[in-house]
Amino acid sequence: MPSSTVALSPAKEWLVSQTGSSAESEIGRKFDKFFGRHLAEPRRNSLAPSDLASEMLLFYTDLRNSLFQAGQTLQSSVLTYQIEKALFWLTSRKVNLPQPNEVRDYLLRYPDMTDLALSVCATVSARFGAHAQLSLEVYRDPEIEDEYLTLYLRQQDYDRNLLEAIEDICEEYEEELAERSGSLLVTTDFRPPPIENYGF
Amino acid sequence: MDGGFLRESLTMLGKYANCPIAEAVCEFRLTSETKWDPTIPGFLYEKVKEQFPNKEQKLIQEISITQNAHGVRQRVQPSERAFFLATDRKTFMQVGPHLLAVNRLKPYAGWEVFKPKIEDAFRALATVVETKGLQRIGLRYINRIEIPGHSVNLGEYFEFRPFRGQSLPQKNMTSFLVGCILSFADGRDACRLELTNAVPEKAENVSFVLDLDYFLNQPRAVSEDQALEWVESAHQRIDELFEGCITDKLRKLFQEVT
Repeated sequence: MPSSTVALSPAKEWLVSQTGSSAESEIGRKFDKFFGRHLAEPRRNSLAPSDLASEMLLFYTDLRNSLFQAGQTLQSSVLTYQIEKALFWLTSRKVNLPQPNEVRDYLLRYPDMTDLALSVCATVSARFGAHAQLSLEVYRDPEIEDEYLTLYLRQQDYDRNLLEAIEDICEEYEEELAERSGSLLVTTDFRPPPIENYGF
Repeated sequence: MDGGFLRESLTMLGKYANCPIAEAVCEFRLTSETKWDPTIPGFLYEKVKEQFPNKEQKLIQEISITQNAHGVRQRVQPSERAFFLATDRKTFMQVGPHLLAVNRLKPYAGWEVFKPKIEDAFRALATVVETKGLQRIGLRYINRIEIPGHSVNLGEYFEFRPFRGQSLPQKNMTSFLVGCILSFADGRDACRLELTNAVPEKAENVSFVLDLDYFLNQPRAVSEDQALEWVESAHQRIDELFEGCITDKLRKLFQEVT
């Protein structure tokens, strides 16, 4: 077991305790899949993955509201609240949102993409740490009326193995993405990142 | 009347040209004694398909919270929801186990338009399900408020806002969340009020989410026959609370229609 897995285990324990299932359940396995791979890799100048994972999960599960309404059954029938929290979390993690309304509108049309977008951003930011700037945008192809979320990863000095690393991330989420109504692409355009938003 | 915040002749819904409502939702949760089976969404769709012709299935994360002598227990569980959407896709119904919700996204056309959708959906549900009581009813309005400027004095725009005593820093608050639960109708109902900052549409603005969630706090305290009446009174409370949360300066930004 990589040492960093130990750091993340409280977050996993917390998650499985909320679901009333065991650590070996489907949720436990998905957790390992989401966060396990990058944990084996050493990082510098990045947030501790346990912090990121716990923080993302807190947003994802609307814990704050749950505590507010203890004793109630909370139904997540609203779409906008979850999306607003997601956007806020992304900006607090220095993920750039050049056109936040476009992302808002996309997530309203494909609400099951919200948690996945957070997961992908958390994974990418944990993996690349201070060496990259992320920008979440909506790509539109007018010729075929196609649109999808695009997470651009930009670096000041591009790693030679960046495309391979991006491909690895995409592979990790391929199966999960297939079950969702929308689409999300992780890529780079090899542009330099805006200086003010560089780093985490 | 409760409290001193009520203002006469105010209706949040449809009153403002620049209406801040990002989403309105009315939700009915049936008791677990109500028999529910997977064919119900299909039967319900047949009843409402003229208004909501587009049918979709989505996976939703739900949280249930139970409280007993040992404390509070939360469970996060994925749940399949049927979505029936109107042609404009801004108004839609959600149907899941023991649940019916009617949503309206921006632009909000007014209570006069939204209320009949709620009534139609609830009455349609009653024709396909033999309900055994209402566990919860909720009416929730999420407002996203954009104010020009890189920083604003909250007191100029909000009557409901975080308070900082004199020994605390008065500047450089980068983020906040303030909320409370107010009790109504002798504890039968409650309303959760929450104000937090949000991501603005434009970089030169600041943005806030004002969330008003009025709900039935005592399961089964309202019968099926009284449910729509409850919704109407919930709407009035939310209207009053919303107006109580904002100042005239913010009303001006919303461009009040006289």
